[in-house]
Amino acid sequence: MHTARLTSDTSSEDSQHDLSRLLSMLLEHFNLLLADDDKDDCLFFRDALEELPVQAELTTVHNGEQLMQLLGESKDTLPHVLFLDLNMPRKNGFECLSELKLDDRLKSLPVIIFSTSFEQDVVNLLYKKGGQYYIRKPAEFSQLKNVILEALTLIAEGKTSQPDRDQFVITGRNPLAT
Amino acid sequence: MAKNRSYELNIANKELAFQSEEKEKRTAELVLANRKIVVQNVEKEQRAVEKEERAAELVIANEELAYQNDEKEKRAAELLIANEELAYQNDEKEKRAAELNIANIELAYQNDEKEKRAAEFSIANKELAYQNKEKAKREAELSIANKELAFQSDQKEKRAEELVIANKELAYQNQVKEKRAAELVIANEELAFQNDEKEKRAAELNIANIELAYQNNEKEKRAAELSIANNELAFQNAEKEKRAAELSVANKELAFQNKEKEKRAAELIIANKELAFQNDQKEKRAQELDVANKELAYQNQVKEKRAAELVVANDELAFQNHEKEKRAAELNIANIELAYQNDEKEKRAAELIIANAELAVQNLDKEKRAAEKEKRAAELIIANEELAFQNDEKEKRAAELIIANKELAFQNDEKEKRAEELSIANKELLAFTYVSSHDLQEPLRKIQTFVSRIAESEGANLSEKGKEYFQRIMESAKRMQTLIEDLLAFSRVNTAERIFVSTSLDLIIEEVKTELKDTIEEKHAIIEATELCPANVIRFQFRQLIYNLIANALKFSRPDVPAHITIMSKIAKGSALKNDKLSPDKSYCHITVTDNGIGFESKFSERIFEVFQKLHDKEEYTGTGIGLAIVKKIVENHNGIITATSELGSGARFDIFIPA
Repeated sequence: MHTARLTSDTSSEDSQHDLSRLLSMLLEHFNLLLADDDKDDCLFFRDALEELPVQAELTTVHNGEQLMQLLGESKDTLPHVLFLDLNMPRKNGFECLSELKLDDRLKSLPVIIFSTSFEQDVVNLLYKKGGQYYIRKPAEFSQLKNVILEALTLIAEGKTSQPDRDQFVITGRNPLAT
Repeated sequence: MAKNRSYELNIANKELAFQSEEKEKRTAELVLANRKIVVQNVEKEQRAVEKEERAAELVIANEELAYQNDEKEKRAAELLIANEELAYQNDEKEKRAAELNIANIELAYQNDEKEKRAAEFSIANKELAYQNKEKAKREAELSIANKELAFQSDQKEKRAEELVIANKELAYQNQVKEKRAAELVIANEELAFQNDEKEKRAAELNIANIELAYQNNEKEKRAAELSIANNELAFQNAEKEKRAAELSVANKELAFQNKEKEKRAAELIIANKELAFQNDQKEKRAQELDVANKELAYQNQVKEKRAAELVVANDELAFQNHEKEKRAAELNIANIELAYQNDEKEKRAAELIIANAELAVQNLDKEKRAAEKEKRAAELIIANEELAFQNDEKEKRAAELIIANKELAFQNDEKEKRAEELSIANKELLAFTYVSSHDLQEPLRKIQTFVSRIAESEGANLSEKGKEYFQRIMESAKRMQTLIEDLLAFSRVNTAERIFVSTSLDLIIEEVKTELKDTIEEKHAIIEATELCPANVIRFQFRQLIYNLIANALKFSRPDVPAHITIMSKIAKGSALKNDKLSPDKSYCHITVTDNGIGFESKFSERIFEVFQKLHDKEEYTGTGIGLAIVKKIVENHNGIITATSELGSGARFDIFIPA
């Protein structure tokens, strides 16, 4: 329904604003971590990332234990952002988020929830637990690119403190608009 | 006393007889002296001296007579003392009579006290009668309460039967599982509410039983007091009988004393007769002496002086005799007086006997009255026993009610258990629905993503037919996604937390209007929301309800006519709302959503609320047939009801009633 408006249909002022945002993002080299047990979803994510005009390196883990082990081992080099699936074997996303927020070294890592389900109660709970943003996995590939782009833009702008509740869910409606 | 008296009289009589003998001897000696005077006239002077001596002897004889008179006077004095004693005894009798009088007054006072006591009993009986009436009322109330309980039990049984049927339907109708489960949940809530009410009622009955038990205790105390009062009365009656018996004994003693006095009077009469006889003998003797003196006077014609002296002496003797006659007459009079007094005493004794008889009659009356009182007391005891029996019966009844309540409580427990089991089963079902729906989303989403990727990247390589098929796959997948999301929403409505908040409907409607802004513009719809009242609702659920209803109205608007939706709400009593299912006394928030859309045939007014029920092809109007089922479920979550009224082509109207 809505597509990413990277260039067209914007006034000149907006255009300049969007351009500066895009530039800041293009200059950034993202180090991303995705925790998702679903291989297909990992594939979609990687494909979407490749099609986006960003420099990013993606690491994937497939369950919560792997995630926590990896983060525990990487002493100095934390990723810029973690995309966290909820429904994972061995240790689910809720447990991982709780553990991260209890760890002094890891609690500043921005965590973007990346889940199929979209229950208001669950979304509220994750916001309370300290999630940075919430992405509902879209059905259309183009929409997937939109939400990832919006998420990366927000991170690139340095918006790593928790937003207001109504800004918590990333819709991908217009990734370059505030 | 009497014997002593007669003994003294005997001695006195013997003395008198002795004295008479002495007088006869003396008289014989005087005759001899006179003969000597006749024979010895010669020795006149010597004889004169002898006569002088003889005169001296006469003087002595006279002194003896005087002595005898003294004795008689003493005897009279003794008789006087005897009379005084009799008078004293009469005084005693009068005192005794006075005491009897006082005893009668006391009896009269006791009778008054008994009458007062009887009056108190009468009042006590009235009080008991009043308490019995109160009990009867209470019993009637309990009876009504029991009927209510029985009615509620019937209702529950019916409801339970309905639940059984519902369960069977659940088993057999897989397609309408959610709807039936929802009804069961509501039924369970109603049951829980009824159980609460019954527990309250049982608690009230318990309190009522405690009150009854307290009243019974009070009555038993009263009965015990009455029993003690009866015992006192019986004791007083026994005392009166004893007193009457003592009076009877006293009367017998008086009668015995009167008889003794009569005997004594009779003895005195005999003694007086004897005295009169002795006086008669003395008179005869005096007459004989007179004759002898006359003979002497005749013989002593010559010796006139001597004869004259003898005459004088004889005259004196005659005088003395006369005096004695007088005395005898006086004694006679005294005896007559005594006889009169005895008569009086007999009369008095007779009067006392009559008085005693009267007293005895009065005692009999009192005994009768006492017997009546005893009878009355016995009746009161019987009445108390009856009351006690009735109290026992009521206690039994109360005990039965307690048992019945326990049984009801037990049945309620069982039903609660069953309801809980059903509730758990429902929750399991819902959880199953939720999990299955939730997990279905993921593979579907991946199908959609793959399809979209092929359509995007490989679209150019596809034939027109291939492109069309890909479009149809995407539409079907989209439709399946909608179905799953609606199913999730439907099951979420059952499981989500229910927090009721007083909420302004205006705000909710504004939110929904914002959300549906595009569609509203597209349909040129006007949404009028006026006269709205705040409602006590589960906020996010009610928002979904309003959303679904407005979305529904927009979807089924007539293509050529701008949609016009009117939302109103007001608070009203159930009795004013023309719906049988509402409680007349409760207040409801009545919300109406009216549109001018295509409407539906009135025969579908129930079916449209069932899950997956649609009236149109999906090509004509999109939708899953879950939206109105969610609406109904939300209304039911608010303990309310929803109705839909419409005619084909003339718009639809939804009426929602939720407790205010």
